[in-house]
Amino acid sequence: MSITIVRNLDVVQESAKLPMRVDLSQTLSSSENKEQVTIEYALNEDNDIWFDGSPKTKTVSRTETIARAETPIRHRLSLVHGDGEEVERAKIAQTITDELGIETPDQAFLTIVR
Amino acid sequence: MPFLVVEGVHSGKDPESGARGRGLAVALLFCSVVAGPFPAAAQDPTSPFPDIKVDLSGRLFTNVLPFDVPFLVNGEVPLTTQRVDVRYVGHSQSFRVAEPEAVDCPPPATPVKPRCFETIRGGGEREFGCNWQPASGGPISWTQELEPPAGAQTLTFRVPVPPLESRSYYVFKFEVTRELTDADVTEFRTGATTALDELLREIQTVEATPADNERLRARLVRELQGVACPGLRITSDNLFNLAIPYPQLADQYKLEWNRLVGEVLNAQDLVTRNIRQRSGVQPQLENELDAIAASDPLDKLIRALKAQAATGQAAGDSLLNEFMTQHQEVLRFADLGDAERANVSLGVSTAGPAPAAGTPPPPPFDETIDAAAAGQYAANYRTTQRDLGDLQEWLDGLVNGGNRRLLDEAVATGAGGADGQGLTDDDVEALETVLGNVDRARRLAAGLANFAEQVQRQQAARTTSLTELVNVVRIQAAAAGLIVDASTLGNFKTQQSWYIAADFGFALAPEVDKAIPYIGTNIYFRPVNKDAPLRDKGGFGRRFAVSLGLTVKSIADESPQTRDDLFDSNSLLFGAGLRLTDSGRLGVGALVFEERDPNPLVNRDSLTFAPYISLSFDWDILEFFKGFSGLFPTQPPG
Repeated sequence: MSITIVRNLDVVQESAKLPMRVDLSQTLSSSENKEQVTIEYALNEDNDIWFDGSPKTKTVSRTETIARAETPIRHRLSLVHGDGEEVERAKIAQTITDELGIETPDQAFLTIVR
Repeated sequence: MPFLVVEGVHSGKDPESGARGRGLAVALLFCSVVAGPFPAAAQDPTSPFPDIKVDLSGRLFTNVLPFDVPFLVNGEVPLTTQRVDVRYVGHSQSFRVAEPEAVDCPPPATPVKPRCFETIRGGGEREFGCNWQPASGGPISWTQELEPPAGAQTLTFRVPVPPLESRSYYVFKFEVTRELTDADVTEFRTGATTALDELLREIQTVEATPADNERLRARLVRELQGVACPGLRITSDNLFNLAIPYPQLADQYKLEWNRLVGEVLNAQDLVTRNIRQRSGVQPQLENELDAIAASDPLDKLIRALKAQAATGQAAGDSLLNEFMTQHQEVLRFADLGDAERANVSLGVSTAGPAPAAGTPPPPPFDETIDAAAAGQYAANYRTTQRDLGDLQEWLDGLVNGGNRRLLDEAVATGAGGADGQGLTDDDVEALETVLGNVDRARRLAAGLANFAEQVQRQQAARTTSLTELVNVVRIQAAAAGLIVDASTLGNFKTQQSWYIAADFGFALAPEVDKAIPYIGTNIYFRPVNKDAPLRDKGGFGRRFAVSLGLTVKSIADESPQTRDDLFDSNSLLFGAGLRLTDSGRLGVGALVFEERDPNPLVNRDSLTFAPYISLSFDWDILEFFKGFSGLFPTQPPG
């Protein structure tokens, strides 16, 4: 029950003028026939980029079932400005936690247009 | 208005002195008109632009430079020349330009001003402030774009130069840049990749504020300039142009910058994160392997099965023996010594022979590991994962699957007990725990393999991104600077502080009661280039001139004769005027002729001045008037 990243996380949009919904794509596979994983997206606590919500948050989680075959993943996240330091290049960190508790990291970045 | 009469100056009673004065005036006017307008500088009259040749090997211009008009400079350069940049400094006195002997490398972000020294009386020099021109917009440049003709030995460059000041000295600087060779590019890219690799490796995060980007860009460009020196230069026509502050860069350049740098930093950040994760999971794998190796029930099981296999083999039943042989490799997990477990902890496969003594250990799995070494770790972890999978399948088959019969027989016969105690039911129960150890170890090995594969992939991606970043940098060969002195006062015609032009026109003197055609000469008190349009190069000095002329028709009258020409059939005009257009001028002055006393009993002539107003035109456009007027000669007098 371990996850292999077949194709790394990618933000479809190279740049974003917030507020904006960004599309994240990735391809995973599991060492098992199928496996449920938790995928957490996190933004830097110190910068001014937030996930939209009530209230705005710095982390967003999704649950996915990953098969032994290559499994494409696509998530859409809404980014907005909030409190924090103004950045021009922002990282979206991803942590995939499998059933054994192994945390697999991945990430993507995008340029914030002001 | 009565005539102004100067009696006795040129009296008919003094024909000799009058003839001398008239002769002098005629000679002066004649010389002026015959000489025609003094040209501003040597130039091709058929070309809209004077084209001046510079001999770079001799470091001299072959002509005096024109003033007040744009002109071209052409010269010969080697076939390998890619670009010629031209700058110049002007001064009203003779001077020289001194540039630093050793140019800093990398060059300063802003060009260093030249130091200029003018010659002073007594042979000394005095420094004065100067700067290369054009002051804005960079140098005047020529770039080799067309293939040179077959068999050409040199290239001809040609650049336009803006109007220069008259009576001035100039120093021109020609910077000749050769084309790059493949060796130049390869050497630079190799060095730049190494430099940027080290520089960017220090950056801890992908994220960047505009200030971070500005600082990093400045550092990066300095590094690149350092690599390029001394033979090459970084061109500053894209996102590496430090003259443009980062916040003012065009959006396309900011996006390009963030993408190029971001991909390098993102890859190395992912390398770091995966290495960190591996370091956390690796001990877990080691713990599981320890548990497997230390499992007494597993050892008992293997010994019991091997004993049964030996018994069966002796009895002609080789099935169990084949079963054990088939899984011989993976059964080594039950027997891993410390050294083998250490190998596993380094990602070295348990399969195959152990590394020979003296074999260097694999490179440490840290940020310095390269893609190939990380790939080897990944392959080994995958092997470990498969081996553990095989062990899991073997053990699961015995404990929970179709081979349970073999396990039950081992328990029943008590086979394999070294000290007389064979496999027990408690051991079988404990094997469930071992099975859990094997399952976790397999999954941990799979996780570790993924980390290693990620490091392998991201190190390769980082190298690719770094190459892409380096490939965006444009370089050129360092230019060779050649200084050439020049001036706009190279000969008699251009070094004078005045200018004489010939014209023709009509003077209207009320006292004469008719329009009088004349030819004349205008004396300007500064150099004037008639090729320079007044709308561009105007000003009082270029418009004002004093005039001296001769009428071309007699103004004498008859019956009664009240006036006579100053000369045989010509009279003198003098005055001043202003150019209203490039070719036409309005003038005022005095017409000089002889007045005859109206009293027939008095035979006396007196020199008389009558005011006039005139409209005149350059001699150059005389052809235009000749077509419908016979008033003027077809050639300048003489």
